This record gives sequence, structure tokens and C-alpha cells, in this order.
Amino acid sequence: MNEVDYEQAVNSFYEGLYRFAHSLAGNADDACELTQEAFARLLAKGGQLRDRSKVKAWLFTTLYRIYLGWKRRDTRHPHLEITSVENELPTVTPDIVDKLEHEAVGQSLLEMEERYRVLLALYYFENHTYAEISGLLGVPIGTVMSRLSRAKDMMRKSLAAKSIGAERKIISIKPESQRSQT
Amino acid sequence: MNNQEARLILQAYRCGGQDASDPLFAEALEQARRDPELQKWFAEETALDARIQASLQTALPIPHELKSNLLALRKIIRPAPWWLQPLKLAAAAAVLLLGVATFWLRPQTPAQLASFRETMARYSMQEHGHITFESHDMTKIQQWLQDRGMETNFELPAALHRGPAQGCRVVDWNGRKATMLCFVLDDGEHMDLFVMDRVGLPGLPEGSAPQFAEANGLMTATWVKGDQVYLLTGDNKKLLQKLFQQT
Repeated sequence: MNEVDYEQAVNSFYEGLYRFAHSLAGNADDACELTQEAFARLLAKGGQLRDRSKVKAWLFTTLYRIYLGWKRRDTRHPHLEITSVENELPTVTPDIVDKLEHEAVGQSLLEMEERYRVLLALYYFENHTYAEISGLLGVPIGTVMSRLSRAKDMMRKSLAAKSIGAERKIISIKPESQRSQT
Repeated sequence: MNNQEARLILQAYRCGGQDASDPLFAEALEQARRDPELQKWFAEETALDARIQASLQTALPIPHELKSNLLALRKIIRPAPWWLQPLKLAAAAAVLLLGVATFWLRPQTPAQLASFRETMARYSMQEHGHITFESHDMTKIQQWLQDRGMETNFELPAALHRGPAQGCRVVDWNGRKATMLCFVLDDGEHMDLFVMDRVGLPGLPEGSAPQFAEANGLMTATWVKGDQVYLLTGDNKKLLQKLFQQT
């Protein structure tokens, strides 16, 4: 793969690929590493890709396989129990509440079971079609459709629950004087 | 098509409208045009999808340095032209020889072999329940297989002795049982080795060079040794060929 083709691939796909990686790995550091590994493989092996229109699908499939390889090794993603990081959670401030909407949406996605999370990430981040998702994950189209429907439903329920939580937080941080007026 | 079926299909419709010309959506879209209730649901669905999509883009911001790091990879990873790499030149010669050997020694039962490849590649692609027994210890894996009546006198390619096994599973092809061994090599490449009694695939010549073929998007190598037929799946042909060069 020549430098121009590579730069074009980076410009076109790195954002979607990073967000997909983030949704898989659950954190920014591993997402960066996964993205870089996928592009490194494109540089090393991209010459084998005869059809340039398949670069996008190749990158997403490669990243997903790298992630599955990591997972099989099962050493890179130690599971953190919430109680072990509880003390590091930030205090709720108006800024955080302002940002909560977007973060809550992201969090809802990251909290989902992997088979649903992967699907939604491909659907929302890079606008993959149901057929592309079927090809990338190696699952039948019918399964993609039913799983997507279920995933959307689960995410909406999670968002609904979070929106109730956000309302409560807004009320709880209002000054006492304002609370009595409401 | 009833409204329930239409809803299931329309949930895969992308909110940007790019799927308008996809025939799969045509009937469901037509149904939505006819039924005001379904149309209302669909409008709300796409609006909500657009909102979630926009929110997710903001929720996972891209690190500033990522793009420059990715572009810098060009300076770090520069594959030399293949004709300047003696190993690759040797590999090209080996590919040529393998191609000739594959042509002359092609199987007597191509349809059966193709079916075997396709089925095993599907097992290899399977994400959930990929392996039944997880262990890096080949002795434990062999014991697990013996307990299930499977032969364990298989001979692994030398390169797989070094790659850590991840576990195994017993799979089925045309009523015959085959062993599946899962490996992840040091560079993170995932491979699955399938071993089956060669009686299941008569006509395959013993001791011939591996036959490479693509199946379900994976590259496969098939060969016969002793009483067993072996099939290895991996991401690409070069990787599999490299593995046999190491043998």
C-alpha cells in the first residue's frame, strides 16, 4: 500500500475505527492500541488487498480479530469491580451534569453485553449496513437484524433509566433555596 | 408482511437514508407508507437513532494525537519491495511449487473437501461457544478429548508447538466427529486446527503438500498425515504458508 492510499485510509476511517475499538475495549488506551495495530497491519499487509474498496471492511474485521486475540489471551483486560474504583469517582458538578447526556449514551453502550455492543457500535459509528455487519461478524443477516432490534431496545431502556438518575442528580445539587421553591 | 416484521426490518435501516434503494427494505418501507401508525413509529425511530448516533460521536472523543501517530506509522513500518527480501523471494518460489503440486495432487472428492472446508471455517468464525474446553495445557486438552472418545495421536505443525493453545472443542461434519484445537500465536494471529479420521474424506493423497483454499472469508490449508486429515484456518494465505515453511 502506497503512502497516499494509507493516508487516505487513515483520514477516512480512523475515527470510526477508534470508536469501534473503544466500544470493544471499554477504555481509550486500549482503543488507541487496537486502532494503531490495525493500521500497522494495513501498512504491512495492505499490499495483499487487491480491491481498494474493501479497505474499510478489512480494517474493521482486522481490528475485531486483534481484539478477539487479546481476549483469548485473557491477560490484558483485568475486570475492575466498581467497589475497587469507587473512591476515584468524581464528585457530581454542574459541568458533569451538563455533559451527562452524551456520556450517559456512551456509557449505556459500553455497559451492554458484548454481542449487542459490537453490533450497535458498527451500526452507529461507521454507518455499516446490516449486510456489512453480517460479513464482519460472520453471523447470518437474520441474526444481525433480530440482535440489532434487541440491542436498540436494551440501549433505550438503559438510557431511560439513566435519564431518571440524571434528573435526580440535578435536583440534589440545586441550592437549598431553589429546592424549596420547586 | 405484518407490522411486527416490518418493524424488525426497519430497525436495521440507517437513519441517513442510505438504504432507501436496498430491495430488502422496499416492502417494509411500502408498508410504513400505507400504515400511518407504522409510519409514525418509523419517523420516531429514525429521529431517535440520529440523536443517539450524534450523542455517541460526542461521548467517545478521538484523542488528539491519534491521527498523527497513525500517520507516523508510515515512517516506522516500511515494507521493502518483495524482490529485495530474500525470504519473500523464497516464499514466492515455494508458492509456485505449491501451486504446481496442488494442481497435480488435487483431491478426488472436491465437493466433499469444499464442504468440509466451509463447515470448519464456519466453526472457526463462530464467536460464541468458540471452544468448549479452555486450557493452555496440551496434556489437559488431550485428556479432555480422550474422555470424549476422540483420537489424540495428531501431529501438530512445528510452529503450533510454540503458539499457546487456547482450548478445544468437538465438532461435527456429516455425522463425523472432528477435533478443533484453537491457537493464538505470539503476534496475536488466531488459528484453528481441525483433525478428523481420513476415512471421512477418501481420495485425499497422503503426504502431499497442503492445499490452500479460501472458505467463508478465511484461508485454509488441508493435508493428510497418517490416518488423519488436518485442516488449518487462518486470516491469510501468507501466514499459513509461513507456518509450513517453519515446519
